Amino acid sequence: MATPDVRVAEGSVPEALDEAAVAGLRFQAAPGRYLLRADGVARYLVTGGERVVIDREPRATDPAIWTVLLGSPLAALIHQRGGVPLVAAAVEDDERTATLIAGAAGPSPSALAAALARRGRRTLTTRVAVLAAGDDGAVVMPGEARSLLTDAECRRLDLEPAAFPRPVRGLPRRAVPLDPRRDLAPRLVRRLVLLEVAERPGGAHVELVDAGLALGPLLRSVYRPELSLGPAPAIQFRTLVSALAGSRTALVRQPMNDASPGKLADRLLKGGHA
Amino acid sequence: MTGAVWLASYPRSGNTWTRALLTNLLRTGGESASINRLVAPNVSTRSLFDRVTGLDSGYLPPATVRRLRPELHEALAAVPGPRPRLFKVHDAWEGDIDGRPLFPPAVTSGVVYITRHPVDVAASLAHHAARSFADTVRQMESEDSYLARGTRGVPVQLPQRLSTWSGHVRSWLRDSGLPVHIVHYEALSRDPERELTTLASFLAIPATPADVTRAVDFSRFEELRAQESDHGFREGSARADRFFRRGRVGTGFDELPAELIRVVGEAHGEVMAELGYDPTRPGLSPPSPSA
Repeated sequence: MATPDVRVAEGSVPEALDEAAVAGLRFQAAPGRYLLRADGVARYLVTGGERVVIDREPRATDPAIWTVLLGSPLAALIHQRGGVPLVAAAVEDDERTATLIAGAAGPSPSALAAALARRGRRTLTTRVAVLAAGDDGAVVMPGEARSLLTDAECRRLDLEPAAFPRPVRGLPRRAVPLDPRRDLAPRLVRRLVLLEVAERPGGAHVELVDAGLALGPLLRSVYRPELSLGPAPAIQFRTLVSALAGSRTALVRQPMNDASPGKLADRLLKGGHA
Repeated sequence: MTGAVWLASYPRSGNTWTRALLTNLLRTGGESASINRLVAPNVSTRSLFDRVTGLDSGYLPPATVRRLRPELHEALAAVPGPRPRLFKVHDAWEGDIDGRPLFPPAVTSGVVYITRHPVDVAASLAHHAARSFADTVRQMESEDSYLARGTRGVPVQLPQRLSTWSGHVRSWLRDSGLPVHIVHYEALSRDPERELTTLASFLAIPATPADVTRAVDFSRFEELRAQESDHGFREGSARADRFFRRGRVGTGFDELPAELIRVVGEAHGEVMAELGYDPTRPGLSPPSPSA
């Protein structure tokens, strides 16, 4: 059996870090260390890119613990390991390659991945996509493959909302699993879809762009960039450039909050962008 | 002014225009400031919340997000940088978020409350949200009215409780107990130099008459609209062709049916009178009430 890269355990976590380099209302970070306090759920301590300790509150549920863990604690862990966490989803092209969908405009990458899943594409990851350097170029790692959708979004995808649980009590979204057949093999990134905010109303504008134009939007998709400390930024930049160099990249500009994932998925598939 | 100044308004009441005026007043330069780089970010911007707290608001129950907002506002007010520290707000003021005010007085230097005749607000808001006039007037009467509640995905803003139009006005002017300077959209339209001079004085922004004239000129409606046509506006609505639509006083009386104008008057007449608005006529009733 292979040795795990990361160990996650319950245990005691301090209230605060000593000498934090970056701090916010509920988090502190220093090179190799990250602490998050989620009220009513748990405190999380991430160290050395290899260990996560969870100090749970008495009434916290497992789904709530995991939902928070797969957010900024995961991002901190990836940053500590020199990988690149992106606000992104990924769908499989074939057994070796994938399309990465990154950005935060219009339908979220997760909603778009859900729409692509309804059209037969296997989902590799949603919410956060982890990019790493591979022998033949940048690879995306399989991860959390579920989409959090509102009831209205479920219905637009012909899904019955009541069939899906809410992962956190009071959250107005439901966790829709996208692909129960996941495997753990990383996929080479060969296609990129970057979602950017359009400043004009109207439908989505899709165009193929070269790496130079795509770098800015891809950098803006890095999740929790403030947690990239120590030697990580240089390594991460090389990985991002490698992803762009090896990919066919489509830039999608659409108004904020203009969520039509089905229509956009159809356009991307028709244009060979996904 | 060491703390935050909240530029508060019910939506479509002139908040963005006021921000354009202040942006052009605070900067030097020979041309109009970009409408995509205005001062006073919206305190309800989701990415701001996520960045400052370290939590993903889209994965938190709205009640949890709401509980953190007073703390968020304290943190934003304390961020080093030029003063006055201005923030755009559409929320109604609330005094009890787990026992704390939504906008804590300890970090508040003042409030600029921007108000507009509610008949004009109804017309503008209906176009902006691509809703019927009747639905919009009903929304303005609803205690349970929110912006960005997020039934269709995760909006770029956090949910903001508006309350009724009257409730919104009263929450800031009567209940908050904060030092408030009122800006009437109508007064701003009639004499922008005078209104901006008074506003600058409230905000302790040093401004010569020439500075004010330049800021007003760079913030003319035609200029803002031309910029939107040429370059787009990031804060625009996905559902409306334009953010800067007509920019005139009294458009609601041209557009809303008489019956709905009457409904607005019945629902909000008392607060309208306090602000100097006549339910049956556009504009401010002379004399303008003092701020």
